[in-house]
This record gives sequence, structure tokens and C-alpha cells, in this order.
Amino acid sequence: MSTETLHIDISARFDAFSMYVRQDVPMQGITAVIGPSASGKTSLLRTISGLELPQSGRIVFNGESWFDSVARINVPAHRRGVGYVHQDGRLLPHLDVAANLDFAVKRATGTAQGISREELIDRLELGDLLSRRPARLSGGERQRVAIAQALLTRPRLLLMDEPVSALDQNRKRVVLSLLRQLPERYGLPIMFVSHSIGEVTRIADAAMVMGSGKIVDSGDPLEVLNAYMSGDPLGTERGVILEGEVRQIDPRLKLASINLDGADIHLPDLDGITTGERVRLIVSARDVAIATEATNATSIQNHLPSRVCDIVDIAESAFVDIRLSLSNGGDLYARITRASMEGLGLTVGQTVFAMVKSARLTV
Amino acid sequence: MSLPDLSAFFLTLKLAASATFILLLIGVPIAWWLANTTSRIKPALEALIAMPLVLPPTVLGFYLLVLMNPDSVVGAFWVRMTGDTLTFSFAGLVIASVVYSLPFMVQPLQSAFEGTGRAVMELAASLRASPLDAFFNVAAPASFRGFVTAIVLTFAHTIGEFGVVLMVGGNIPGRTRVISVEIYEHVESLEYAQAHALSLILLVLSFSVLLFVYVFNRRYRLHVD
Repeated sequence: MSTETLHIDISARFDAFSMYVRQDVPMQGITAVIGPSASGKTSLLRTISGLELPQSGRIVFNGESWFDSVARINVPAHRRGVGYVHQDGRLLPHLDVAANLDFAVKRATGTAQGISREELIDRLELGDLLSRRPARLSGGERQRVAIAQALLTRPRLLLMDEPVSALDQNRKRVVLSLLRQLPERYGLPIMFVSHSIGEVTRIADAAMVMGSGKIVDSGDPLEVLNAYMSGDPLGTERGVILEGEVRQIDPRLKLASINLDGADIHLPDLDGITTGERVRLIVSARDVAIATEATNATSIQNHLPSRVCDIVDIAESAFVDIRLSLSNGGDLYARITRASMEGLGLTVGQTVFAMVKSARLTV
Repeated sequence: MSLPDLSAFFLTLKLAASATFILLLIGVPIAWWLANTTSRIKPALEALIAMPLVLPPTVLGFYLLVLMNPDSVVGAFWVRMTGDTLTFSFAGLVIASVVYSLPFMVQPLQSAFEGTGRAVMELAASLRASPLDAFFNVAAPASFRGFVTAIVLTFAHTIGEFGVVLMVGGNIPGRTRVISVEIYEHVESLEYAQAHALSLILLVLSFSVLLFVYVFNRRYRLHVD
């Protein structure tokens, strides 16, 4: 067992379900925990933090036992040095925002460098909230304060449970880019629970998928997330995540050209990215069409040569998802109607063009 | 209207203050435990604490009298320790008042602690606050309203007690004759003027206390929401 690891090997029983988790979580970077609701993501975080007691097993953080049912070790939550941003953005109700932050500052321990109160107030835009009580904050405001508060305790591990769910798109982007910097700047590992594939794609260095109280997949975030999305039985969120490098940005056409392993695609409205940056894009099945021959008689700019490798029927609907393998190796999904598929006579193995209408930068 | 003897009045205040202080020490841990426990004996303990609310004070006073009697174990022990009896003494009155007013201290505190909630205590732990730290710096201040209500009600209720006091303490001037007993005494002797004066003091005092509690609760609530 490497020392930079959170070793989890526990079985726990809660009111409604049981959890068996055996996993080594890398204690560097951001590890995303995804999975359907009620799959145990929150319970896992609560158990790691010491707020829930497992039935048996071990939790070892960088070689230090936090819980060991055999050795009868259970380090209480307040001594684990785990920061926790709760789903509900909870704060101390009797204190205003400034005092909430000070509460954390006063109890911070350790010699580790941490982000300062001033920087957090500035970057999370808390300046106008300082004299307000939690009851007078909106959900998004609470979440921002809760993130600052958790960071100010100088945690050794930060657990975040849907920490940006109530933020608007712009703020979400700002907060995620702040989180993105923390592991490197302060050596702070983060475990990040989210149901949003977009959020996770944006920031994860590793990913774990939970299902019915177990870890069902883990590893490289792109592989894990792509497998998770294609495994979605309803196909509601079907799409793929592709990683590429920004080649150039045309300021007149407001178009960025992004190189995805050889194939260039042109995408609009990707504000905030710079040339040379590596970005992850979600290409949703809904935004991909299919042409059986090369054509310029269309408004869609991106035509990627590819091959039909699977046809996934979506039960009870007019649609099918076509899995396309790009000539350079990546996969895409295209959602078209069953009627179009029959009209075009699509079959597995056929060579076609994937027409990518748009893609989301993953926030 | 002649001026009544105020020694009973001051004795009453001394009794209420002593009982409230002791109840604060006893009541806070009990209320905290009740607010947080999942133990199966919780309802039994809650029922026991609420008993003084429904029992006739004479019943409570009778049992306390039996318990404090110098011939009983407790009473005899007290005599040996202090040289004085528990019955018909100020100390006995304080103990009786503590029992009698227990629910008035415990119940508001318990609901205040329950209102603070597990979620907030969990947050305190995540912010590295030890349980004691979290109690004094989170649970207690967040329950400020509950503390004020509990203290004021306990104090006021102790001032108003009669049956228990009469059973346990009797009617010894300067020692156990509290204001409610003195009123009774005046009425028995047909000294209505003195009875009026003392009753009026209690009436005004009680109304002021309750007014304070309600106004305070309202204002504080407005401030928090």
C-alpha cells in the first residue's frame, strides 16, 4: 500500500441499505465519485469523515489508521482533519458569515500552507455576504461560504458532496477552477461527489462509480465516465467525453478549432479557453447527425469520417443511438430516429460521416 | 394598607435563585443527553421528569417529606453531614424545588438542543471542534433562546410553588416561610390587606416574567429567520 492512499475496506449497514467498499483512493488530485442517487455516495463520504461508523473493516489514510474494527481504532471526526462540504451547504446558524469563517480559522491546525481567508473571500465573492447570517443566504451563497469554511480548517483531505449544485453556470466555472488548483498548490487531495457528468469531467483526475453501496468501476476519468455514460440503460445522458488540444481561436468567427487525436473540430462559444490548452469536451448523442456521403450542402461544419460499430435501440421511443468509431480511434454516439436509420439503410460496419453540431465544454 | 413583612419575599427570591442555579447544572446535561440519545429508556426518563407537571404538589411534597425525614436513609445522612434536618429547613426547600421545577428547566433546553440539530453538530466536528468545544461554542449559543426561556420559567415557577413547600418546609418565619405560604397565612388570619399586597407583587412579577419570555422569543426569532 502506497502511503499516498486512502485505503478503504469497510462494510457498513445503514437504515435502508448496506455498503461494502474496498478501494484504494489516490490521495492526490481530485477523485470524482459518481453514481445514481441512493447508491451510497454520501454514506461513503460520511464514513470516511467519521460521521458514520462502519460495522467492520479498516480506513487508513496515508498509513494512519482512522478506523480499524479489529484493532478497535476509531479516530473521532474532529481529529481526522477531514474538511467536509455538505450537500445542503450547512453553516453555523447562530453566526454571521465572517464569524463562520473565523470559527474555522481558529481551529485550523498543522503547519501546512493553506489558502488564505482573503483569497477565498475574493475568489468566492464573499465580500458582500460577510455580515449576513446563514438564514439570509441563498442556496448558492451558502455553498460558496461552506467551501471557504471547509478550506480554512486546513484539511488534510477535502470531501465535497455536490458542492456546486446550487451555483449558476458562471460561478460554477469559477469555483471549479479554484478547486482544480488546490491539489497542486497545497497538496490537498479532494474527493468530489457529483451527479453532474459535466462537473466531474471538468475537474477529475480519477473517478469512481458507485452502485448499490459498492464501487463498480474506477480509474482514469475519461474511461470511467465514458463507460458510465454508455452503460446508462435509458440513454438520457448518452454521449462521449473527448479530450483535445485547442489549436486556434478565430476571433472574427468566434470559432475554436480543437484537435481530437488528429481530427479537427470547430466549435462556437467556448469562452474562457486559450490556445494550446487541453480541454475535455462532452459530445452529446443529441448533437451528432449522420451523413452517408461527404457533402458540403449542410450548415453543420464538422464532418468526421467514421464507421458504424453498434446500433443501440432505445426502447419505447422513436430513436436509436448509433455508436460510431472515428477513423483516429475515438468513439461518438449519434442519436437519430429509427426512421432515418432505415431510410439511410445503416448497418454495422458501414462507413459514414459523423456530423457534430456542437459540443459542451464540460461545466 | 400596612406594609407587609418583606423577609418572606427575599427568602423566596433566594430559594428561586438557588434552585435555578442548581437546576442549570443538573438540567443542561440531562437535556443534552435526552436531545441526543437513541436509548430505549429515553421515554421513561422523559415521563419521570414531566411528573411534577401533573402530580398534585402535595403528593410530591409527601414523598419528599418521607424521603427527607431524619429517620430515613437520606434524611439521616443529611443530619450526620450537616447537623441540621432536611425537613423544615432551607436546604430541604431547595432540594424540593429542584425536583418540582425540573421539567421547566429540562424541557425548553431539550427542544432547543433538538432544534440545533445533528447536522450542525456534524458540521462543528468537520470544522475540528471537539464535542466540548462544539457544545459551548455551537450548541449552547445556538440554543440561547432555550436557555433564557428555561432559566426564566424555572425561576418564576419556583417562586410560585406552594404545596410542596408547605409539606416539606412548613411555615417557619425567615427559614421556610416563602411568599406563597405567607399569603396563605394572611388569608387564614383574615388579613386581606397584606394578602392583597403580596399577591399583587406575585401577580405583577409573574406577568412581567412571562411577557419578557414571549417578547424575547419573538424578537429573537425574527432576528434569526
